[in-house]
Amino acid sequence: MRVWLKRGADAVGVGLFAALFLTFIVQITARFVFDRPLPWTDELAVILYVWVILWAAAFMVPAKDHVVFDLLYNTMGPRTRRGMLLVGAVLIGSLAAYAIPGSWDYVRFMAREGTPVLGVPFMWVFVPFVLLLLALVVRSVREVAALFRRRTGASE
Amino acid sequence: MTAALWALLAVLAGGMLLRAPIAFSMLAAGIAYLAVKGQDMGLAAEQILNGLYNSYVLLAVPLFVLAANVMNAGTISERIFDFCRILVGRLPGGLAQVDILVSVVFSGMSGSAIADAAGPGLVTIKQMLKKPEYSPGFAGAVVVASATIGPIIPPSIPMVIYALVSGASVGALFLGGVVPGLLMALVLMIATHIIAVRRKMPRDDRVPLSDYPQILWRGALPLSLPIVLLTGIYTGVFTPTEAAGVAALHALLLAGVVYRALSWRTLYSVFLDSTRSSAVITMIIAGAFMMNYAFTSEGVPQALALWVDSKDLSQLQFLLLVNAVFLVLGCFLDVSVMLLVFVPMLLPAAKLLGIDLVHFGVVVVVNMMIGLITPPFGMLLFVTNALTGISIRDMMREGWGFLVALMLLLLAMVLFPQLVLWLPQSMGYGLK
Repeated sequence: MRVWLKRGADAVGVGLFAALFLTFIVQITARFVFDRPLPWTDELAVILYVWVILWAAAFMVPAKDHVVFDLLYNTMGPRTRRGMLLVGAVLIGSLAAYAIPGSWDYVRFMAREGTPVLGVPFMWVFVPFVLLLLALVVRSVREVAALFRRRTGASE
Repeated sequence: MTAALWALLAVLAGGMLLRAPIAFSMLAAGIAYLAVKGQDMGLAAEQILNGLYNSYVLLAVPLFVLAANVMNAGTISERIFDFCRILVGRLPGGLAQVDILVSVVFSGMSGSAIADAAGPGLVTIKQMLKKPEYSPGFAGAVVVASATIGPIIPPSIPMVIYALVSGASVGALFLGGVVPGLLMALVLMIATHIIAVRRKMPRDDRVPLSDYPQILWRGALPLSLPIVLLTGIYTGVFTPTEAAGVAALHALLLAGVVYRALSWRTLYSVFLDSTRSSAVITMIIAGAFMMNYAFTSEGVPQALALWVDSKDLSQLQFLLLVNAVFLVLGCFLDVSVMLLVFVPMLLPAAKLLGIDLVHFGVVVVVNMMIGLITPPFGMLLFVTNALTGISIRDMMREGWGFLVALMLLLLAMVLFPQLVLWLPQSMGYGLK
């Protein structure tokens, strides 16, 4: 089940990225080959871009791919390391959770305004940001749970 | 300093030291800042979302990432390698010289140093390790040093980001990188030559003359891209963002249609990797939007500008100071953090002193590329170590000569702004 969810999330992200790339090809072709610039390609590209980045950050990027500063971490023993990861996860998760209501209000508020050409309500452009915050909370909870499991596992 | 700013710095430093992802540490720090200041949380969403939505030039980042990944998956790196081999392979330490030249060619198509090390760099390291005269440390050192050319010769992802924060012209920045990038290659080739002659490193095997036409033809195809890109950007035919799209399309057509080196499965994983790395880079940028919002509303850049003003620094003193500080910071911080958080703080001071923003940008980017190869935190060292298993210590022991050469060049760029500005100015930049 989890593997399928993961693959599904990956496929959505790849699809969005491919659509972004295709939009550019269409734009370039329209402009240079047919000499008729299209009004909507720039806008669609930016909308897809916001989605690709936030979607991928929320559901696709494995923890090990993120840029981290591990000089201090690497000098510590296993117990301290676990503690560090624990505090870090709680810090990020709780602040992300704290920002969800306000962010959701902002995103919902933007429903009244549409993008200039396509008229897509900004709510639908911006909603993946809330998904990202939710994903950060879920991730932090799961990481904390995993760290606790590992501790009990190690003591056995 | 206000309580809110303290909260921001505490969460930022805390998150980073605890090994939380830098991007999310910045995001969380921004949220903490707003919380302590009692501001609406919607501001975090607003800053980041509008920042992404309105930064059209940032779209170039995923497209350049895609182009580089396609080139690496589609054996384009190997073809450039063969091409450069017949040009400089017969020099002493031939393979090392080939690697540097490959970096120059690859730079003209890719805007990322990491892609250079992971693609063509890996190809040449494997070739060098087949010969006992090249120690693994030396092979790794040449590759990481030459990979720093990637974002200096256009196109360049860091310069696109710098253009975003500074408002300087991407075209002028790209042009400004051409001469410094070629000089970097020159100083590295000279350093390699000295080492190679002293250690009696071998010349590369002679390539049979009958193979020349095919190698030249295959290598010439990828070489056509930089020409198209540069002409396109400088004549204003396309924007840097569109140029990135053209680069990706060009790479896809070459790899998929001409060389037939891309299966559907590979293509899917190329897109998957590109999506992920674009998200990693862009989330750091998004986090930095929050940082910059906080720093700006606290008036940090202005305060810094006033401080610089009160010290009566000359342009040269300021640039030397900034470079010294950045070389030290570069040992510990990622390029994107320096570019997005520290550079915007310094821009008002630079403007106040009348420093040309294109000169400043190219100097700062070269400085940060040196930061990529200085331990303990150097992404190029990490990537090369992860791909080849060559230890970072060995690379450093063999690579200090290259490091010194690059730093001397950086100093020359600071002392003689014309090294950077001559080409953009001769193409019309800054003429009134």
